[in-house]
Amino acid sequence: MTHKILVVDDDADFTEATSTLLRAKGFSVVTASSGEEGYSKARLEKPHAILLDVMMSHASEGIDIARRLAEDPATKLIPVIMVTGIQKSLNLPAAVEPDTLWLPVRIVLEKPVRPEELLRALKDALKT
Amino acid sequence: MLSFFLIIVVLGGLSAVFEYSSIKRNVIAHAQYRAQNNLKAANAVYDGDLIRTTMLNYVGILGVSALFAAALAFLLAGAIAKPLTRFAAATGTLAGGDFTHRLESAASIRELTTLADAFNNMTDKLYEREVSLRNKNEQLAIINGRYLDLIGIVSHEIKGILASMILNTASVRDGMLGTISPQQKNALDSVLRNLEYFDTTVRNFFNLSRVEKNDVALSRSVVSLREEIVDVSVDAYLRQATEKEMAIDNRIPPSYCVCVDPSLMQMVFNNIIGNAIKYGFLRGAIVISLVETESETTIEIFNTGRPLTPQQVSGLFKRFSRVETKVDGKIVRGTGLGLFLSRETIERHGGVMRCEPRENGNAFMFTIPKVTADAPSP
Repeated sequence: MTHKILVVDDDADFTEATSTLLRAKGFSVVTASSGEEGYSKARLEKPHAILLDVMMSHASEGIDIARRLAEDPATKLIPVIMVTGIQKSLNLPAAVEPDTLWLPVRIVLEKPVRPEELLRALKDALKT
Repeated sequence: MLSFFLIIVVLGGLSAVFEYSSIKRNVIAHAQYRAQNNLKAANAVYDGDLIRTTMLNYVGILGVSALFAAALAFLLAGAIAKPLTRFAAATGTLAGGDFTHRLESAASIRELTTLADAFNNMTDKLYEREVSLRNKNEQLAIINGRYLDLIGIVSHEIKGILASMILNTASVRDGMLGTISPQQKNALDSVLRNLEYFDTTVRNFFNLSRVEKNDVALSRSVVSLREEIVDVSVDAYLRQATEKEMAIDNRIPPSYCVCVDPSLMQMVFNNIIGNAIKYGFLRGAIVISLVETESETTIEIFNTGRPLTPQQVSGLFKRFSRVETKVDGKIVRGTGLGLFLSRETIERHGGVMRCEPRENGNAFMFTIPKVTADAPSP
């Protein structure tokens, strides 16, 4: 069975790099360049997992979309992997860590992400 | 001074009383001898009286002179001491940063007036210089703030570009997009190494802009040092350590707790372990250990390698100080920011960081004071 992955990121190069890797590894890929587009495609395409950036048109766009996806009965079961350029070590007012209410995602990966790290996270997310 | 003055007054008074009574007595005796026509005795009384009177006059003059000198000294001392005391107080005020205070001229003593004028002139000049320095510092702070903002923005943009470059390069190098030849793999290894170096540099610049702007707050919590911090760093650098066939001996006791900002402390361990691998010898060793005292925990990260020279150690923790050395025939250089940021972080935790070159390598040590989670930052 081919797993469908939705990649939501406003960085076209990163979206392309991720898509190329995932397709080479046998995944089917759908992309979106904004949070709103990502939310619509998540409802429409019903992907098996979502790779979601944090900072897009505004600083917390990815976080807002993750919450909407978690609240929506049509998408709440889709595992979300957050892939962000925000450094965890920067100690922002709120940690960029998975949390049921604050950040309902499976895992947060920090860019630059290595291919094996990305594939491992996806594999773990698809298992559950 | 006052007691000396009183002694002189008392002595003068006594000699005056003695002289008066002695002259009175001798005048009576002289008159009696004259009445008895005993001129010899009368003259003797007169001569003795004259001698005594002369002597007493000398004593009196001496006493009055001493009295005058004492009074003069007292007045002079007062006239000099008071302005000098005011001068000392004004100097203290000036030293405390108050440039508004001015000395009044001591009209009675010319030299003191000159001194007061010179002091006031100096204060005026110092005030002008202080205002000028303050203005320049404010301008510098504005320029520095813009520079740091710029570094932050540029670093963030470059980080985004690097993210896709590293993902693409690593995907090709690891054969995930198709088989590549060993030569192609070697070339991509080199590209990836440079990209990773670039990424570390950009990351450090980004961190620098935030640390310098005091934008990174310390958020302490009690964490298990080994499981939550050191193991995470060791895992993150395992691939690089394996590539250099280095053994990492993590001797931090399980469940040993420290009260630190976990993410910032992670950055410190990442930096030092990353350096230990980068500057350590091929097939070398890295040992991570701790020593505990009542008040603090000292962490030591040792790696086998070329011991740093005293000159290299002295500049090691300075911003933009880059240690360039040959490791296994290859030139290795740092970004000049990692250790600066690590030491800043340790100091914000109230600890100290230092480097100790040893016979067969280098040890980096830092202390973590034992505090509670709600302790204020130093």
